[in-house]
Amino acid sequence: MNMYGFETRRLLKGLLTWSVVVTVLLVLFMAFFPSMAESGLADLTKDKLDALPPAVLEAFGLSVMTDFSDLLQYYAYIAQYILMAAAIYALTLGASALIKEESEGTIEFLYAQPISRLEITTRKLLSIVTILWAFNIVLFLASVLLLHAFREPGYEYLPLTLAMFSGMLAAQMVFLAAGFALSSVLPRYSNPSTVGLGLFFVTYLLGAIAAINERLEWLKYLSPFHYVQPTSVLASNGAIEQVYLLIMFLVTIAALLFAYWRYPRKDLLV
Amino acid sequence: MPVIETQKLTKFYGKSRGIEDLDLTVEEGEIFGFIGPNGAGKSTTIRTLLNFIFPSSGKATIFGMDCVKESTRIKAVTGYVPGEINYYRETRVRDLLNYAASFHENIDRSYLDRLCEEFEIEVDKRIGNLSLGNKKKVAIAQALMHKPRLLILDEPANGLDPLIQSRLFSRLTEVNQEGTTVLLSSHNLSEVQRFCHRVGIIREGTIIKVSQVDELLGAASRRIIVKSQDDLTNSLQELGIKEIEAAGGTYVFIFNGHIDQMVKTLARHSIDDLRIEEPSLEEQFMHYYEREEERR
Repeated sequence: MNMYGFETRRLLKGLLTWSVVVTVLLVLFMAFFPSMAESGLADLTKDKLDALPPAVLEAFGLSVMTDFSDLLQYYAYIAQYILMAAAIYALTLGASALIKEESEGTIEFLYAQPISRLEITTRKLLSIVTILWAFNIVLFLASVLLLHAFREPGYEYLPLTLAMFSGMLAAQMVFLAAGFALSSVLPRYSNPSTVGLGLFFVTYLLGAIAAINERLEWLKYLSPFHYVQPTSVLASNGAIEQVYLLIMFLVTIAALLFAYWRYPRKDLLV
Repeated sequence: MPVIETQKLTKFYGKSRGIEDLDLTVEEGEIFGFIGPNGAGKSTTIRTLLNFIFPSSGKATIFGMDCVKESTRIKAVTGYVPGEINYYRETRVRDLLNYAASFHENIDRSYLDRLCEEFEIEVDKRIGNLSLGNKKKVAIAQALMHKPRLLILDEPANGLDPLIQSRLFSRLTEVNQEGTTVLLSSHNLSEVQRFCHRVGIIREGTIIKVSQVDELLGAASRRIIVKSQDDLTNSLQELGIKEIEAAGGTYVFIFNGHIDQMVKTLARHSIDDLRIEEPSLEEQFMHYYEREEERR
């Protein structure tokens, strides 16, 4: 049955848009690297940054960031913004997966076909996962090409880039699964993009608050973004804390199980 | 064995009633008309049968299969034309039909082509560019292509031009003769009267009456508007009409006796204008319900 193919094809346009926009941003950011590295601009920014209160630096994910003239450190800083975009995309993909067809009414077509809700859930999940992975592959290839172009001869970048990407992908899977779970409960007239943006920034802000306020440090567990912040992953030489990995794994599984339990029981209200 | 059977089927949306204790039986091989005013529960019934929504209580089966637990198997042998067609707007009709076909085994391509021809479906257009009627035609082909043993049609003739409407009904009659059972939900009494064997009337969420169509035919009523200089009140009362709206020489009433009798009675007067219309569904039902109460 070609539902998987049909679903995936319907998402291609969005994938193309996101890939192009984020890749262009990446290229633009990276284009500044040579001037950063050479002109001492890095020292200048560093002085300015050092003048800022540590709390503010923390909030912007700059605390572990020291050297803009180092290619990977510069890249990791940029990758934070890429991760934000990717997280929002993942959430929106997940949140739209089931809701969008309900609000447009097209789901009636599928419901009238001999295919169970469970199969619909599986095929939709597979197609959004495919799209998200494809998006990450595009970003990874673009990043590798750019890093390769700007590197000094002999500069090793591949293992750490791979580590940063694995972390980013893990967090995106959490967001995808959370969006998917929401998609199985939200009323049909909800707007998946708003839900995606809203949820991402709420978790992000909680993580940022945790970074500046020691007494609220436990809030950091609520922000998958902060688990895998590329700057921290780079600073710890590619390692991600075991607790974080475990939480991400469990949350992803729990959210998917919830969607699988809930969606087959959902009324299609008019 | 009945094709569709519901027992005390109930659906509440929160506190508001969709259907309540609905008992409906549709026998194999019949065209069953399902009529009732808006909000009476026709769509709720159909959506429950197809498991778009879950019953609050009660039970429904199609071909003996449970509508909740065995929905997938039911859909393999059921065709459905929704009242409102919301198909993937950006998809071409051809691709949509192929997609629908991919869910079934052994689709007879030449039959599908014939359906597309018969209903003059423009297969190269995108769904989003089709008018309501044209979308409906796609839905009809989609529902018929796998030669289902049961067809569930929600206002299928809505939006179709008269030619296509008549082709639809002759196609329905044909598949019915080949053994397909049809559940036809409609607003249009005369459509139901012409094509259905039996009719179920639904009101406020419950079936109030199931009857042979011939029985219902007696209930055929007309809305009459007469304009005359004469005072028609006595003549009309003679015809047994109780409720007459009269203003400035115009008389409006619902008549359900022999039309011949009425024409001959009116012929005694000088008539300026005479219009005979199908009463609105509301009026027909009001009338129908009134007669039911009188009988009790």
